[in-house]
Amino acid sequence: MRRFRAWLAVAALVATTSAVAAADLTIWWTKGTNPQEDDALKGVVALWEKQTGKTAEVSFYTTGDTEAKVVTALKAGSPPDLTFDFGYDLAYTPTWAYDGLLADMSDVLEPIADQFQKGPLQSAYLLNGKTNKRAYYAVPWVQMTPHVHYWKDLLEKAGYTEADVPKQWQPFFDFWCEKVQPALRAKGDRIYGVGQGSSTSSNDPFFNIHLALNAFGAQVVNPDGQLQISDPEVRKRVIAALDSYAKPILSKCSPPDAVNWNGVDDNVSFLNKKNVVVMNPTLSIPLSLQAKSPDVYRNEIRTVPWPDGPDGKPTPAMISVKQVLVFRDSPHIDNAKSFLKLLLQPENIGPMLKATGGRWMPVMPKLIEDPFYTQTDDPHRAAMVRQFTQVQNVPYPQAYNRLYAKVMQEQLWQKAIGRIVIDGWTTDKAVDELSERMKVLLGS
Amino acid sequence: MTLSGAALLQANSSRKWLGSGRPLLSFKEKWALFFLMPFATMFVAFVSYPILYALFLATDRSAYTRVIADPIYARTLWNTFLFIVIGVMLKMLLALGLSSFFVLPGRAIRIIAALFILPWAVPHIPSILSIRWMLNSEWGMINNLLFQMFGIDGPAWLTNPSFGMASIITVHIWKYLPFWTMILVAARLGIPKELYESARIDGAGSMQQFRYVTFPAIANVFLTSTMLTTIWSLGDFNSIYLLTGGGPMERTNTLATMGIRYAFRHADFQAGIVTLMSALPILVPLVIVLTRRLRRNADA
Repeated sequence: MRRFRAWLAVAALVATTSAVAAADLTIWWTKGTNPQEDDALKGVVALWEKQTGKTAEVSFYTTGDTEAKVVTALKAGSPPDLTFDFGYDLAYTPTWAYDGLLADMSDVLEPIADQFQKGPLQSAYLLNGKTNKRAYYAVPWVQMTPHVHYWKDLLEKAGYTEADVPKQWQPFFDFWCEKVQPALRAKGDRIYGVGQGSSTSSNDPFFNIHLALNAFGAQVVNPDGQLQISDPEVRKRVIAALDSYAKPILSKCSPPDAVNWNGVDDNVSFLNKKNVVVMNPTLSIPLSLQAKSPDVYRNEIRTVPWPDGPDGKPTPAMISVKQVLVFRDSPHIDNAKSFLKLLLQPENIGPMLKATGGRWMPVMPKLIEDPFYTQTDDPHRAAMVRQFTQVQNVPYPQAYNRLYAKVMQEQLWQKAIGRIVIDGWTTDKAVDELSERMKVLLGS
Repeated sequence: MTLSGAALLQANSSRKWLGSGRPLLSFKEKWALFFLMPFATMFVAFVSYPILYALFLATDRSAYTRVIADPIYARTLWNTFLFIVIGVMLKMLLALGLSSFFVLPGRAIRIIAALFILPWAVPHIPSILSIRWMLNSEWGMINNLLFQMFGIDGPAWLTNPSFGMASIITVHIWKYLPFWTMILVAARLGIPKELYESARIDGAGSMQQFRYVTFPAIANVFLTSTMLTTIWSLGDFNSIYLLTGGGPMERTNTLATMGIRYAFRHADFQAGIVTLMSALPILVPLVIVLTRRLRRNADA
């Protein structure tokens, strides 16, 4: 049976597994949004090869594909030595740690634990259901939060200025839909107001929907890990948040293809000026223009704080700590640990993160204190830093209840939006279905 | 001298049982077996074993519960039904009608036929992806033209589930219609011309010639083709995956794409196999009928 499963993996992953056999270290990494990101990782890999005299094979996959390949390879018993994807911390890490599938990274992290921020480090200190003990089953290396961007030139073309953009939640979104979009269309431009994805094939909507939930004060899992979506007050807030999220889609203010967008489609749509506003995790959108169109990067795209919640308070920043994983069945665990020790040295990870243009926020205070982040005149990076430092930071519900990872795996929130915008269900009915499934998944 | 089947059987059996001293297999038979071995090995490794393993996976009862409890499954069954019934029926009726045109003589017809077969001849991936871009509701050619000409956004061709399924069926027909049309053209060209001359002498019009001469002559080919295309359509992954990816929000999956989604997106091979097994109630009778029909044709 094991042999057949291995064969299945070979059939599905011919190219990569041939590399597995040849290299001392196999890395499956999610492709960056610009070549510098990939080159930065390759630089650290080359340094590791030089220092150890061993060989490494790096394969880059698009977001989602990395997850799918790793999930399949795990099933086949042939995972890579080391891997990174945006969705691991939210959809898989807690479950894989609990199921005993991840390698213990304590000997990598404990010696340097004082170099990390407390929250990101805790996100990797997970329970193993087999041993009933906690240990570091992931290596935190960057953190991210969703951002809001808009085209300043399109706003001005519509006849408005930056001062006209409302600061409150619903007026903010209504402004783009009810004023900017009609004004642009009257000038003959087929442009949508808000690029808001809701598909089940991308993780971005999961981030954005949770940000909306937080703005409305809808905490579906409390810090004790209890599911409270059925609490009347929470339910009311959930419904209000989903109504708000679905409004641009239902009012044809969002591109119709957004319900089927893949991970990078929101970037592509916005960069092609098919919509004026977009919400997107990391600074990947502006950074993709930094080198080739510096003027556009600095003067035409804006990164702004999220509008205040309906209660008038600043919307909390939802922080997701991105992790690198090594599996119990990875063939070269020692090599993976040796690589991670090298990667996490400030003199390596610091320049590597700078090479990405500051797309991510570091998880080490020493790196955050770098003038690159604190004294920057870069409008987008400065906005990112403000988001991390000037508003309340809250984690995703997985931090309180590891079973919530299954909610992301099943993309329940996007499915609920689908019920509303595709099947025409009322939000109440969609939330009922969502609640029932969530209770099953979280066992409450 | 040639031996009858019975005599050959008797000769072989006496060689085996009477201890004639001759080897069990002749030199030629050993060579035949030697040349057969690679094929047999490949068959066992890549056909028999995977099928048996798939059947083994399908014995996981919990997989049936998982698949049936998935709200997408009922929708997927309905989509598969639409895809097969409308897709196959329309395609074969159109192929039958178009074959009347392509049997006509003339250079122009041959040129049109060469152009007509292009969608089938070009590789699947670029041709279907180009249609995907054309139908993209944000920046696709069709909706951009509609906006420029009439100031309207145009339908969400691929992201409205109904339009999405209609687009999938249309593309499937566009892609495979030429092949089946040419099969029927070939069958029609095999009908003796004398039959039409006799029919015309008897006063038969075009429709009567079709009803009493053409269709009876190609009925076997038509039915066999219909069954074959039904079987192939059940496994058509490309048309759906490349066009909509099963979206929006899994609303345009058929059994083929949903099975792959389970197996490779969620690494739930059991659920993937169970989903694909759902097609067996249609597939098995079709294969049986097809095999019997082919055997009957061979005997005739």
